[in-house]
Amino acid sequence: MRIEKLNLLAYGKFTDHELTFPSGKHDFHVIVGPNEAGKSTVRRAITELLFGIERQSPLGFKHPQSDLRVSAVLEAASGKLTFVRTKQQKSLRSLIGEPLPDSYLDPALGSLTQEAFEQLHCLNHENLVKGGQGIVDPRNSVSQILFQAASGLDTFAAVREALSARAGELFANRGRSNEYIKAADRYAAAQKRLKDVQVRTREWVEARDELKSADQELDKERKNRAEVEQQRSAWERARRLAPLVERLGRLNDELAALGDTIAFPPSAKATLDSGISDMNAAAGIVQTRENDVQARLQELENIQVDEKVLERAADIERLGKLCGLYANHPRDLLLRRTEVKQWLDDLLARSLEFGWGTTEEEVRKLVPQHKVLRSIDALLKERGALVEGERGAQETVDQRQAGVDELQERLDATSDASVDPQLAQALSQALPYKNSESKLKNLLSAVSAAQAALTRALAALGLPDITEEFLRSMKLPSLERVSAFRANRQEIAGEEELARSRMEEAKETAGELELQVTQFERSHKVITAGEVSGARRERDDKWGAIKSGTLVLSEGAPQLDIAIRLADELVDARTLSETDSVTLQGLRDQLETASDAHRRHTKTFGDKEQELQEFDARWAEVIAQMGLDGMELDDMPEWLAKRETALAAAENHAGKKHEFEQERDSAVQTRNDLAAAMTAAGLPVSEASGLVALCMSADEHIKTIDRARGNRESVQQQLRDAQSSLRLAEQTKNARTTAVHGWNTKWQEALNNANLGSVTNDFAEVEAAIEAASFIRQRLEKIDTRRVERIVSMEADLELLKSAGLALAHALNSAMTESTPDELSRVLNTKLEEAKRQSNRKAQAQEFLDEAKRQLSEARSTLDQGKRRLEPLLRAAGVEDPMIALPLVEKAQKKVELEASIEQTIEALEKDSDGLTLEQVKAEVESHPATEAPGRLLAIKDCLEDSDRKLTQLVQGQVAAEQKFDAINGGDSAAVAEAQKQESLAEMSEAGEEYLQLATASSLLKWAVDKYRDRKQGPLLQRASVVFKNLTLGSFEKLRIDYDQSPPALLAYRSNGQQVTVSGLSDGTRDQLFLALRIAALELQTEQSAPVPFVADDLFINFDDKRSQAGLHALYELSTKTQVLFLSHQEHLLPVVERLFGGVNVIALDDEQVPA
Amino acid sequence: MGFKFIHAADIHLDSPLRGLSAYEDAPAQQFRNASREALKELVTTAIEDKVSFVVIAGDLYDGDWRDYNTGIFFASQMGRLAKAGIRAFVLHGNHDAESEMTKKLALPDNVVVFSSRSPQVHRIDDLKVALHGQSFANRAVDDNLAASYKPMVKDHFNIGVLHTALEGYKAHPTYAPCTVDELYVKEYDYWALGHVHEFQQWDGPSTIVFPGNLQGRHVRETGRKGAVSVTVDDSGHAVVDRLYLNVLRWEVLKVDLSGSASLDDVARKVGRGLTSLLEAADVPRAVRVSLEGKTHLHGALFGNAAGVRAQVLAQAAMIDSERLWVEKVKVATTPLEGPQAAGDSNEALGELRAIFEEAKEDSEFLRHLEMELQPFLNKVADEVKDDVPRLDFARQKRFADIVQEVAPGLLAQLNSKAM
Repeated sequence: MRIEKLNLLAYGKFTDHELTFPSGKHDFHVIVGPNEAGKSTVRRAITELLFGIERQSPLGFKHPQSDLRVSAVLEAASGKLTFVRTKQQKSLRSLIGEPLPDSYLDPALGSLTQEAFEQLHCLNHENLVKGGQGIVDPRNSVSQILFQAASGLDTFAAVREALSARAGELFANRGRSNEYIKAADRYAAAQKRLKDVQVRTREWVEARDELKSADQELDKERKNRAEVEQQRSAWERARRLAPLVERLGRLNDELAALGDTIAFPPSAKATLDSGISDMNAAAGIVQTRENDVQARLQELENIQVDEKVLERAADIERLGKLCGLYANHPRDLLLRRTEVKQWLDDLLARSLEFGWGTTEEEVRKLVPQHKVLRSIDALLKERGALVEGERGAQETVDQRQAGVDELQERLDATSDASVDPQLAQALSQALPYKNSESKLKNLLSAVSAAQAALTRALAALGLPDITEEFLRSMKLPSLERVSAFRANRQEIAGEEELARSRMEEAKETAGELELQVTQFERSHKVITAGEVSGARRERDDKWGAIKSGTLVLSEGAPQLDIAIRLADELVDARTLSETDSVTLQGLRDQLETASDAHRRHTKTFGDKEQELQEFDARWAEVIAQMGLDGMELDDMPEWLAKRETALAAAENHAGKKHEFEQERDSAVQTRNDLAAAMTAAGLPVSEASGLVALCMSADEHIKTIDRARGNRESVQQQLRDAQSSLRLAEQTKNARTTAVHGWNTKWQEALNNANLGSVTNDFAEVEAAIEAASFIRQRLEKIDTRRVERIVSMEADLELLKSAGLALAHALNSAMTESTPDELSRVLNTKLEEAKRQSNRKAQAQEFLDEAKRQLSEARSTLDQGKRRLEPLLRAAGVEDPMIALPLVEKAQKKVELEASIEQTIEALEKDSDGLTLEQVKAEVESHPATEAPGRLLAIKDCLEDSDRKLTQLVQGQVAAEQKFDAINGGDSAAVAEAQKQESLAEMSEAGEEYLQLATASSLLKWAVDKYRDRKQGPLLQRASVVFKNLTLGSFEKLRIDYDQSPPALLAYRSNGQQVTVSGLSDGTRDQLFLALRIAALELQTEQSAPVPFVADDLFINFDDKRSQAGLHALYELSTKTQVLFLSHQEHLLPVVERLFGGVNVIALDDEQVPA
Repeated sequence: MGFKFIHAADIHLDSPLRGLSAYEDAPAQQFRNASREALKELVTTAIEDKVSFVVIAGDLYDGDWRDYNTGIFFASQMGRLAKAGIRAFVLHGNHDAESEMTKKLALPDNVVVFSSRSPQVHRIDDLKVALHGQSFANRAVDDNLAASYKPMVKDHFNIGVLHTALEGYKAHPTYAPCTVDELYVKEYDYWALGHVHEFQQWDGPSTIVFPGNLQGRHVRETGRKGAVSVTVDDSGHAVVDRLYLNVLRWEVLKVDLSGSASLDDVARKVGRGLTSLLEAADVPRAVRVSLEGKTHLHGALFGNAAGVRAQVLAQAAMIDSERLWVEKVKVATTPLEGPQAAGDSNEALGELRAIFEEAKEDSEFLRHLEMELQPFLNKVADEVKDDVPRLDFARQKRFADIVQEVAPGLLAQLNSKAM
């Protein structure tokens, strides 16, 4: 819709004021006027024109309320609408006042409401701002179109937050609580520990050297101390040993005084004393022992022993044992014999039944042997299976015979036909062509396509009626030759062009130089040598004329003066213009050179031009000979390529065609062959039958015969199998019958062997006989066992006992030969025990006697020993009586004691002499007089104390060095620290790797989502962004929604990327934003529905001039889509409008019509 | 007369285990001395097996390791051998050559060190054994040392001791290069090599053996480690048996998560894997757990490294915290092609995928990312380098590569959240 005319018939201050809005490429109209000129009235009139006049209109100040009227001509899609809006009941009227229906304006308005019109289409500044606030409020449903790009990404914000949060845990630029930094701290700590505990080789070497030197110093001091210590020892030793040395001297003197003595052993005195006392005691003991021996001898003589009985003691004891063992034998023997008799009676009774004898001996002979019985039993067991086997085999033979008969019948009923091989071959050849129809179609269409391609390729050659043959027959230059031609021509053309440009260049240079010469000549008066010599010649002529008298002096003198001055002036001037003249000459020389060059290049150009023409003529001739008149040389390669294409297309066409024909002919041939073969095989063949039908028919025929044949072969095979089975069954049956016959023969033999020849085929009786024989055999075995094991052995035992008793009685001459062995045994045992008792007593008495004799011998020996012990002593002393030897022994003892004391003293000396010899000690005592010792020892003590102090220090030093050295003991502290370092490094790597992943992912996701939203933003926002950028002259780059806020908010982005919220914009920029949103909305609306005019009433009040111009531009652009009525009080904009968009419809309202 | 000896190399004494963090239940205390424990094991085995001598073919300790205690510890272990009457022949390799300890360390009399000045032959007359060798004089020996080794000693069992990269071991610096054929030419009976950390044996005219290092030190040295025991019979025939002396073995446990329904499932699978490792093992394990396979949990695992790691550590603690040390939990799963988020979210995801692609080319974003990461990069220690490829990228300013690596996981996570 657009407004063509608006007439304010009676409205506000206006009366019949018509505004016309002619249409054009830009439907842009400016209504300008100062305040109170009626601009707002016009805006209101447009609203009320379309939607009705308000009941209590504030505009009814000039015309009565009821008379308010506005008329208009609107252009709608359906045509023009002319009407008057009144305040009457039916407010829409025709121009002649007739009421119009309310729907009259529907074609123009559509679904447009007054509210929407006022908010979007008909704006003053106040509406612009108010409505704008509504649009950028996300809670407003109208604005949803702005915020539509958030869908589909709701869940991703959480993902990004999680990624970012985890990345923050792993690493943060600040603080030390993140995982990477913690690990890095641990790493640093381990590093420090490693440094602390690590022992470098140099440190070890130092520690070792330090220890070595401490050891050496300590050794030295110890040696020093040892020397002092030695001195101290010498003084102390001398003081200590002096008394012993003196005592030794005294003892030696005493020994010398004692003189010679007999050399008794040291124990001589003690030996002598104890010898005398021992001999006295031993003499008493010998007497006592002699008495004792006599008493024991008497005792032994009084004891008597029965030796005879003792000699047979073993036999007597054996007899007693046997009596005990065989005590029960007589009773037991009776019982066993009765038992055997009973068993014998039982078996005789059974043997009688089968005629095997009446006595034990007969029975033992006639009863069948075990072997015979087993064979009968085995035969009995075999019989059933043999008989049953024979019967079963006969049945099998009968069944198999029936089967063979049946199969023979079935075979006779089948036929024996076979497939005609010619037919089979024809069919197999025909089958590949079964689908030839569709293949032929494809081939045919390929032929057509190739034909079309050929035609196209020929047409592309651009020669009328050209044929393939002609094309082939053409004698054309090769591409190489054409290329050579072209290169040749290009060369000539290039040279021509070069000559031309040189010619023109030279011409230009010559022109320029010529101009320079002219200009130089014009601006510089150059005196030439010619002019000077001319002036001189003039002067000389005058002088000559005066001299010759041709010229009178009075007349000639002034002329000569002039000529002289002129010549002089010229000479002076020439001197002055020397430089100019040189310059000019130079220019002239250059000009001449340039002119020469121009001439030369002109000639070259002419030559080259001609050469080129000649070349072209030659080419035209060549090409005409080939029948390609007028073909340009440059077109030739392309034409040759096209020719190749055409020839290839022709070849392709021929190939396709040949393929098609071959396929078609082969198909016909195979069909005919198949038909002939079928006819020969007696199959019906129709002329009209196609290859497919024939193939199917032949195939069916062959399959039928194959099936029948297969069936017959199967029956034949079955019959062969059945016959073979029958033969096998018959063989089996014969074998079974032979086995039964064999059994019968064996059976009769076995019965005879068992003495049962009369029983024959009564199998029950045979079984009873086997059982009886078995019973008899068992009983006989039992009888034999009992006899051998019990009866015979007991009889033997009793016999042995009896003979033993008799033998004993005879041996001891006993009168008891008639007594039972039991009685004999009892008597002999009693005697034996008495004899043993007496024998024991005798042995004991003998022992006592032996002991008494031994003690007597000992006492005598003791007495002898005493005497022998004293014998050497007495011999040494030269006496026989021990009592006389006593004083001699005591003197000798005294000497021994003295020698011992000397020995002890020397020992004491040696013990305390610290290893010195006796002589050394004596010398030392002499050289270290006891009187000097105390003083010397005090001095030595001081020395030692000094040495001790020194040693303590050295030992401490040595211990410290040793500890230091020992501390380097191969411990693993450094290795452990290094391991911990690596562990921290691993943690750092892990945290770092994860951080890089997550931080990158988080950044990437944020960037991608922003980008996605940028792309997904609504068209409204997109368009508004562009308009807003233009309105703000590029200060703002774009508009975006920040979805990270809740609710989302509109943000404006400055060109430097800074974001500004709507409330943060300046008033002007905010107005520009709201206008941009409106313009964008209007543009979108006009794309989707019929356009509606846009009325802008002083919207630029907060715009500066430049932005106002930008605003005008925006509206002017909008006016290509919808009608724009721009109302403004800013008259200074008019020239701007004019300048910007010349020929715009400008309607000026003036304020004259304002009522007083 | 037959005899037996032990051949070891690359002991790297007191070289730390790398990549293991001391989380709460980790058996850190127990294994910080792993290399020492392994050496003790070596010496104990030598004594118990009554070997005649021990050969150590280089790299006793790291060249940059300065603690003299390490040398003393080594000397004390050699002292144990001395008490048992076992000789030790030690050759210095590239690492020892650098160490100042090498020059100062006083070793017991039973230890014979090969000179670095010229090739030496040490004979053991009672066994009729001749040991040839030359220590490295400095770290980088590029000459073929073996070439100038002395000719074989007749009627002796000849052992060549050499620290070399041999041919074809690009993973190790090519010091003292030579070829197997060049070693055969010497006609020695046995070549005791060192330097390469993997066991390797050639049975040609000579028996040539790399025993590998004594104790694995990081996750690239997985599997059983130790030395070899060589038994030589009367005829001079040598039989090589491996001795597994490592006290902690490195493993990579790959766990396939396809079919896992939840993180609890993941924990259970990892638990089963760890249990079976221990069941099959006689020594404790340092394990890298690598989660693999196509799984719908891929997204949930992304960005939850700490959670996943905590789960795995809990499993390890439950199974046997004394014998399991988890080195790292590596999420190497791939997303399942299948159900995608529905509706707006799916559309949004599609667009985000495209925007992620653009991010790699967007200089403004990459600059922004650099600024974001810069504070971390300023702080991160130079030593942090093992196994952090992203850090390498960041240091080389290859931020696009980081984005390239991170984007798929992020997308999977977004997809799993949106479903």
